[in-house]
Amino acid sequence: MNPQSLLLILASTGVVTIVAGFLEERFKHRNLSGYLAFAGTALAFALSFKLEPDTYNLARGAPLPAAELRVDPLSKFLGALFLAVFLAAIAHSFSYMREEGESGYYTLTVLMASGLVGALFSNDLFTFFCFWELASVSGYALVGYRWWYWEPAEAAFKYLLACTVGALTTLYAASLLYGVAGTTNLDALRTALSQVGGSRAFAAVTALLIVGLGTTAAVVPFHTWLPDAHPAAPSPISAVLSGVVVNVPLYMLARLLLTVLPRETGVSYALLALGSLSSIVGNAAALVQLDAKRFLAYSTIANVGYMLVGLGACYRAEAAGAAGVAVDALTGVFVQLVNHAVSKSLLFLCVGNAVRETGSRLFTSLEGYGRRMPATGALSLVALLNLAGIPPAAGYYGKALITAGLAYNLQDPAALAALAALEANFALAAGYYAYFAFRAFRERGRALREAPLSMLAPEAALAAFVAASSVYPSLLVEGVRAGVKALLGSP
Amino acid sequence: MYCIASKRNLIKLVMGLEIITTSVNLSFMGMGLRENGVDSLAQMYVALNMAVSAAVLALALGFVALLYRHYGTLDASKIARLRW
Repeated sequence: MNPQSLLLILASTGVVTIVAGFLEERFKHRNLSGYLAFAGTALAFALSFKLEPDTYNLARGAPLPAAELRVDPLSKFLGALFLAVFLAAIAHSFSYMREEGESGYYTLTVLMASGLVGALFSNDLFTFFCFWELASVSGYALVGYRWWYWEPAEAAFKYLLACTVGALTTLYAASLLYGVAGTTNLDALRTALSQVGGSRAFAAVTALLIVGLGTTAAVVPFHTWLPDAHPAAPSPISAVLSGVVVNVPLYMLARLLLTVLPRETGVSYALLALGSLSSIVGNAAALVQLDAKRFLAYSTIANVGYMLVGLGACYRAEAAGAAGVAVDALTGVFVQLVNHAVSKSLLFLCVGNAVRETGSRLFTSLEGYGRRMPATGALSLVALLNLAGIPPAAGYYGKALITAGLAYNLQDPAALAALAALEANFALAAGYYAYFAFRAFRERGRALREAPLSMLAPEAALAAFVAASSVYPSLLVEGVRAGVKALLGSP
Repeated sequence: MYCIASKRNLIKLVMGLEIITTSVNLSFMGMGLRENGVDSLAQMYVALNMAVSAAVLALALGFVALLYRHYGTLDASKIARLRW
């Protein structure tokens, strides 16, 4: 199985949903395009398990220049995971978007999935940019999908402006690398750059890449689009934005910094500083939110911060020659990424259930939804426990591994400060997740109807993944560790 | 970059976006310069980037039109109901 076929399936599903849209109008059938989108994504999800780790060219016959895809164990696992989150979001939309979900909605969602999977598998900076823009353009349109309200229009424009600048900054860095090495292929870049050796010019390229990919991943000074875009989008799209979209640039950043670019001493400090800043600002801003989805959006920023700190810890350990610690830290980053992707999208979908019932995103009107809608409440609790990282939950292991990666050598005051900030943030986050649970289960609020089964079933599937990874955490951690070792090329 | 940071008119913001795109294209062209013309790889990058940016531009102008309908103005400082 090769990734081109996977992308082809997703892209043709997009086309099929457009056709289905015309049929829908003709036959007055509501969700036809949604079911087709689900079927296509499910097929891609099933086939993603059969991908064979190798490099592929996007064109089958004559190889295109600068269009290479690469599947490694880690990206294969992440690809399957992202498609699973998309499946849950599409299934959730059947009921959530019943009134508004025209075929265009599903077309855009499937195109976004294909863009993100393509960006994840791309082994070339320019291929990455093209797939990323495909995903982003669909994302902008989906955030602004309910254009008849003022909020989505404003949020989508802000999202577009920030993320396009971010993507173009990345592309500018790619053009500089092309100037040095004559290629944008990551494997060829690695060989070419190792011959050129380190120079101050690469510090500028690295900085541009951190800024560009950091903007699309919502790292703090560049995060302003995220807390607007997440609440304004329909809930299944918020789930995808938070669970998948911010993770793909992080994965790319990890690959570029750790396997392609020459080492710079300042990078680990920059990553630790930006990561700590993201987690502090994300958590602090989450505390004062009145809007439940905005609250979750800020907590996403904090989680991106944790992952960035882990990345910084990995970079630092590798520079110091502690390969085992570096593997640990990067494993922590990706375990955290997986847990955050699954449980944050689960929580967004659950809050979506309640928002659909109450018609408001404010905490005051959502209060008590956990009691009135017991199934939704129970599923939210699973997500909250995992996000807070209370030990039996798998969320704990990601945070523990990041901490371990940072704590192995505390001679450096910067690492000590980052560690202190990280631990304080974990505690703060656990505190506000507990507060969220408290408000959700408070004996208050008006009677609400439980969400329909078609919304609960995809949430239950995500919750089942959380439960399974919590019962057998070693399976998740060791699986990710094997992928990370393959990525770093360490034994 | 200056244009994005300093202008208030939404249309000018979109123009700033286009200037950045053009500068990236120009950078690719400059980097691909060889003795006998521009490297074919760089030409491909630029052509594809123009196509991508056209899609983004269309969407951006669509949002500008929507915002004008909602707010009756193109002044970015007045279209700031989303804060925090």
